[in-house]
Formats: sequence, C-alpha cells, structure tokens
Amino acid sequence: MAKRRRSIGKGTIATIVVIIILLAGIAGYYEYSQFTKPPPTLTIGFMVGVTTLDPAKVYIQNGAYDVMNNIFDPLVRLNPQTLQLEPSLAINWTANANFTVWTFWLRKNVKFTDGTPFNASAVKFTFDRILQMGTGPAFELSPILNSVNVINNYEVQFVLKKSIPFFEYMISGPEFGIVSPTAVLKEGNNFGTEPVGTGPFYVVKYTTSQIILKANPDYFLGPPKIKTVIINVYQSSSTAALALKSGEIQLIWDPLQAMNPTDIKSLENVSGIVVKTWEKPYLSYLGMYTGPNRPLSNPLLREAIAYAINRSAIIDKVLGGFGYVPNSVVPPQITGSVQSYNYTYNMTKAEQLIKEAGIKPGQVTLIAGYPSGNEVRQAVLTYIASQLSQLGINVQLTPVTTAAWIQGLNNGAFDLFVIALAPDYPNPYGWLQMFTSQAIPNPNRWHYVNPQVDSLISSALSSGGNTQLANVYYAQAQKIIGQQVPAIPLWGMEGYYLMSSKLHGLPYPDLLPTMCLWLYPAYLS
Amino acid sequence: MNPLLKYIVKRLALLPFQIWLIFSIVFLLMRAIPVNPARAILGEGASEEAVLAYEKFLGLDKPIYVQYIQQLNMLIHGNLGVSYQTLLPVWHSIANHFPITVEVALGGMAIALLIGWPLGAIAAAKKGTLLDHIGRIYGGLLASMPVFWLGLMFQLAFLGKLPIQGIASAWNVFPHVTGFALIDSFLWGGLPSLIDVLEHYFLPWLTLGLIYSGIHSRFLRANMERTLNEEYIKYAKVRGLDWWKGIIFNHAFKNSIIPVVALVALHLATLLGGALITETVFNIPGMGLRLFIGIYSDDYPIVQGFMVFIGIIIVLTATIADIIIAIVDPRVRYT
Repeated sequence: MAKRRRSIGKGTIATIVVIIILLAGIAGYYEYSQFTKPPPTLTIGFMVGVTTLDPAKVYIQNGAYDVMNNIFDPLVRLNPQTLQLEPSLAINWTANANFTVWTFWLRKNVKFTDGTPFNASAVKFTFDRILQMGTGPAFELSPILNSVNVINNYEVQFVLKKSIPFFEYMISGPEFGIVSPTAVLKEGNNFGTEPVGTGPFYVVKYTTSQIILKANPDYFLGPPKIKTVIINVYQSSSTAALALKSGEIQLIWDPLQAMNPTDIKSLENVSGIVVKTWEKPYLSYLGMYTGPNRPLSNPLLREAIAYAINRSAIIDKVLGGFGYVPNSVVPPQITGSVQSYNYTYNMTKAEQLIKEAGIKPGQVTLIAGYPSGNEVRQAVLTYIASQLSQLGINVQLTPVTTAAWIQGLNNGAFDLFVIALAPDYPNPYGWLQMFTSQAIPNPNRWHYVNPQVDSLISSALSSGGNTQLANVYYAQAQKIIGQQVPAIPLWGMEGYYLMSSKLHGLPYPDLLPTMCLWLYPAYLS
Repeated sequence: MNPLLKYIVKRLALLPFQIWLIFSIVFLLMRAIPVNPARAILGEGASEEAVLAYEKFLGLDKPIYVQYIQQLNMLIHGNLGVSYQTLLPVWHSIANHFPITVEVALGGMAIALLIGWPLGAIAAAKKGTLLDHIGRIYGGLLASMPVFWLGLMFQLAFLGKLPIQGIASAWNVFPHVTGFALIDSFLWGGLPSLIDVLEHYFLPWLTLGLIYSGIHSRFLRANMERTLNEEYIKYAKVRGLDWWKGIIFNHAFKNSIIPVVALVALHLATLLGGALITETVFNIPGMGLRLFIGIYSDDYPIVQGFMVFIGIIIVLTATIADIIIAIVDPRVRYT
C-alpha cells in the first residue's frame, strides 16, 4: 500500500511563525536591554505652538520666540532678571542728540553656525529683509526705520524716521535676531525650517510637533552646558503634567498659562519636581468702552463697576490662585510704575455711585465679548457678571470667534472685554500708549480720550532720554487713568517653571513680560 | 470586463467628483464662518494695515469666487496649498503626520480584531452562559467608554513603567525617511530603536484597540447569533459536525463576517483621518492633532487639504473593503 504523504498543516505553519516572532522579540529585547543609551538630554514640553523659525515671518509671540531666542542673537539682549540691556552681537552703541540715528559697534570673530562670518553686512541684510518681506516684525519696524547703513565691517548705523529714545530696546527681541545671509539665500522659503543664526544652539530637526536643538560649540560666550535639547509640543495639560512626573520631560514651558491650574497644583510637593513662580509684568485688564452715547461713557458707572469687582476673589476662585493684584495700569516691576489704582472692593460705595448716576436696576445692559474657546476670559467675565448683577447691571456674555472679537474691539461692539498686554520693552510708555487718543482703536481698545493724558505722554517721549523726568510725566498720567478708570487692571500674571529638580540655571525670575526661554545658562545635575 | 474590475473602475471614476464635492463644502463652510485668518495669525495687537497687508499676502483680499477658482485649479494640479501658519506646503504636513496616523490606526485595529472577534464568536457560541454574559458586559462597557478617560487611566496606571506620551524617547532621534516611525527608527537604530517606538505605541494601541474591540465583539456576536438560527446551521448540527471547527468557525463565523468587515473598513477609514483624542492624550503627532490645530487657528489650506486627503482615504478604504468582501463572499457579485 502506498504511503500517504504528510503535508504541513496550517496550524503547524502558524505555530512555527508564532515561535519565530517570539524568538525574534526575545532577542530584540535582550539587545535593547544591553543597549547603552546616550547621555540624557533636556526634553521640554511646550504648551505653545511653534509656527516657524524665520524671525522675519513670526507674527505673534508664541513658542517661535522661545526657540528663536536660543538660535539667533539680536544686537542687544534684555537680561530677563534685571530687565537691563546687555551687549550681545553689539558690544557698544550710541544715539545722536535727537535719537534719530543709532550706531552699533559689533563683536568680532563671531560666526554663524554654517561657518560664515557675522558682520555689519549681515545686520543690514537682516533688517532690509524684514522691511522687504513686510511680514512679521515689519509692522513694528517699517513705521520707524528709514535705513540701515554699513559704516565698516563692524560698525552699522540705523537711521530712524522719528525720534525713538528707546530704540535699542525695540530691537532686543528674538524677532530681530541676526540671520545668516548665506543660509537665507540658499534655503529661500525653507529658512523657517532650516534656520541659521549665531546663537548657543542650532536646529537639527523642526516639525510643528517636535524640535531638536544641538549645542553650538563655537558660541561666542562659550558652549552651553546642555548638549541636546528636545522640544515636544503638547496640546493636553494633563499629558504634559504626567510626562513631567514620569521623567520623560524635565521642563514644562507655559508662557501663556495654557496649563490647567489643577494640573499645576498636582505637581506641587511631588518629589523630584520643582514649581517656581514669580510675578510677571504682564497684566490683564477689564476694558470698558468709553465711546460716546454708550453706558460706560459715564465715569460714575465705571467707578461703580471698579468698586464692585473683587479682584482678589477672581484670582482665588477663577484663576486657581495664579495671579497677583496690580496697583496701576503699568505693572509694578517696571521702573516708573506708581501706585495709582485705588479702587478696592466695596459694594456699598458701588451702590452709592449707581444711585448718584441715576441708574435704576435693570436699566443698563452691557455686552461682554470674548473669544469662544477662551475659557479663562469666559470664566472671569462670568464672575464679573455675577458681581455686577448685585448692582442691577445686566451683563450679556457674547462669545465670538477670535477674528470677530478683534474686529469687535476695533469698532466698539463690546462694552466689556478682558484683554492682556505685554509690550516688548520694559518702559511705561509700552502700557500707557494704550490710553492715548492716537492709539484708538488699537491698542486703545476702550476708545479713551483725554487730552491731558495725551499731553503728559507726549512730554515724556520728548524728555530727551531723561528717564527721571519722563517717569514724572508717566506717574501723573497713571494717576489720571487710575482715577478715571477706562480699564481696570484685573490681575497680573504669574510666571512659573514646572521642572525637574535636576534642572538648574534657568533665569529666575524671568521678568520679560511674555517670558522668553533662555537655555544658555541651564544645566542638568 | 470582469464585473469586479468594472465595479472598481466605476468607484474610482466617481472619486474626482467626490473630491470636488468635499473641497467645495469645506471651502464654503470655512468662509461661511465669520473668521479672518490674517487676524487670527497676527494676533490681537495687529493694526488694520498689518492685517490688510497679510490678507493680501495670503490672497484673501480677492473675491471669494476668484479664491475658489484659484484653489480648485491648484487642487486639480495636485497642489493643496501652503499652511497660513507655517507657510509650508500642506503636503509637507500630510507627509509628516499621515504615516504616524497609519501606524496608530493599524496597530489599534489589529488589537481590536485580535480581542474583539474571538470574544464575539465565543459569546455567540456560548449564548446564555456566563461566558456570553461576560462577553456582552465587556462589549457594552468598552464600546461606551470615553477614549480620553481610558487613555488617561492607562497613563496613570503605567506611569514610570511605560512611556506615556510621544512616539520615541529623547535618545531615539531617528530622521524622517519614510515617515513611518517603526521603519525609520529601525533603519536608524536597529532593534533597540524600534522597540522604543513600540513601547511608546503600546498604550495608544491598547486604548484604541480595547474600545474598538468592544464595538466589534458586540457586532459580531449579534450577527453570529442571527446566523446560528439559520436552517443550515441546524442541519449541520444534525449532521454531527464538530461544534467549534465545523459549525462556529467554518459556517457561522465566515457567514457573519461580511458586515463586520464593512464595519472594520469604516472604523479604519475614520481612524486614518486621525484619532484626534488619542493623539491629543498621548501627544502623538498624527493627522488628527494637526487638523485640530489647523481648525483652531483658522488655517484654511490645512483644513481643506486634510479634508480632501481624508476623503480620498475613506473612498479608497471603502473600495478596498468592497473588494475584500467580494473575494471572501462568493455570493457577492457586482454588476
């Protein structure tokens, strides 16, 4: 009888395949366990997006500024702890008598990370490029800059269209970081993903979700201690907090307070994690539209509202305790700020003022606009509405899209709104310009008109660089504004570092209004 | 012509019309919302002049019909435009994010099928028993569980034991070659690098896999329960066929699988469009997360481009599913 040939069944084949996969997995895992991982790097969780790394294209101060601050150098740099200007790519500078021509002497023997030399031509190229592209910081620069002239290889001159006594502060931000002309001409539109500067780090990889930086060994101040930085962009506050707890990241960078206060609190008193907070010169205001024929054109009503709002309660109950109560429309950290806002919570006084104004309960309805999706503003306005309801004032909360909200601010669609302001330079003018009539509708969102305030601020600007004299004018302006209250300084932001206890060296406090990550002095223990 | 081939050609011939429809609907919807992308990008501090200049730069100053024709023309030539935010081509974003989404979707679906199908089959085969009740409770619980909650629970449970976010550790900085993290990591760092990525994918796969396994187990159980009441099943029992191999697997399962395959295709197509919540919780740079950022920042080209791309994926996935069904089920004939 012929023997039947035995064939290999499907089950046998499946079993063999599974065994092979298992063996491969075991071998792989053994190799993985023997693998020596490279030295630890600094991994940061960003709670802000990074849109581009081209300084000429950056429009808003999101995470792009924080990365650019470490890959580019401006001519002068603001020390985040002292708010004093320090030499960076320029070692010295001066202005003529009327502050219309500024000369900068440049540091020698500095190279871009592509090996090309830094010189005056690169400075001219950078600023000409900003003006030519007309994007990003051009909106700030083009009204004031006439031309940039190369005097010699290490001397460059800025000719301004008008007198700006603090011009050097205006160009101290990362948006004015000096770019490599060679790299720009080579990369063209891709410069935003392949940026080249002189900074302490250079970009190895850039995507919208992850950026990898490596230390520049030839940095003119010496190479940074941290050799590699990985930046991961997070959308979820809880995921970032868990990643910090697990050690997958060593720092959560959250300059715009996107983190949920509950998640921040969950990091306090956790072994291996440090939560450092400080008061920033970044204020949020309750704006009141003071245009004609509108309820809040009545100063008595504005004063009543100022007395009716409990700012401490807003910070405690709505902001989870993260914030401080300011005493002026100019933050207290800024030289020139004076105690000028003296309305403390007093409902009795508020009711008296309402009676004095002849306003009956329910007679006034105020439209309070905010960008939909902005939970902080919604929560604050809701709380304010409940406080004002005790005075018989109705507040109609109106969520709109961001763009519609900005248009509404411009054309006075809202009676009440919450906005925040952080100028680029630590000068009272940055905040007080919001109250000048020339600044209507932006940034004078409350459409406040007071010729006396206009005159005081104009006098301050014309004080010829005499800071003391300018501050006298600024102080008077603050007192008038504080008394007439077109805007209530609701709360000041707190900055914070949420970080591993192994991370040291970050500037503390970081008093730049919007903070700007500066990794050069940082190190891991 | 082979009927199946004819069917495929007909389906694909409709694709350009479907793409045009998706593009037009998204285009009109985005412009119906009263937003101004230039304002959104420049921020609240920007002056009117700056906004108008940037509108011109983005081409938003042109009449709507001109924008529509220009962008449709670009689409016909395969150009999805440039992101308003990053000023990089939309294809660049798709190339960066889609492969990651594919890996998340396929891994999650594989786990869903490996768990869901056997559970559903066993529950149907053991109808009325404890196993059936457990299977049904499991299915109901997982199918109704919120993804973000399950993801968060896994993160808390595995904190310190497994990576809870991202797709690779800090040391695993593999370059973008194919875009697939599993392939690129292996090419760069071999097995250690690949295993690191697998560790990162484990929790997202488990989260998606368990939730979809609940849905599929319930669906398969319901279909198999119907099939098991058919006359030919009763006949097979009478004939004395083996219960598990002969009846459950050879007849009930195979005859119940068609609608389940269709459901798998539908779920896979949805996941390939981006499992937004999973990607957000585990911080995975996939399509869903990128699209969410695009919508949030009024980035028209990203939203339009991604929706068109997702539309193509859905149509192709559905077509592939139909082909598989036709191959699996000889009763299915396309005319």
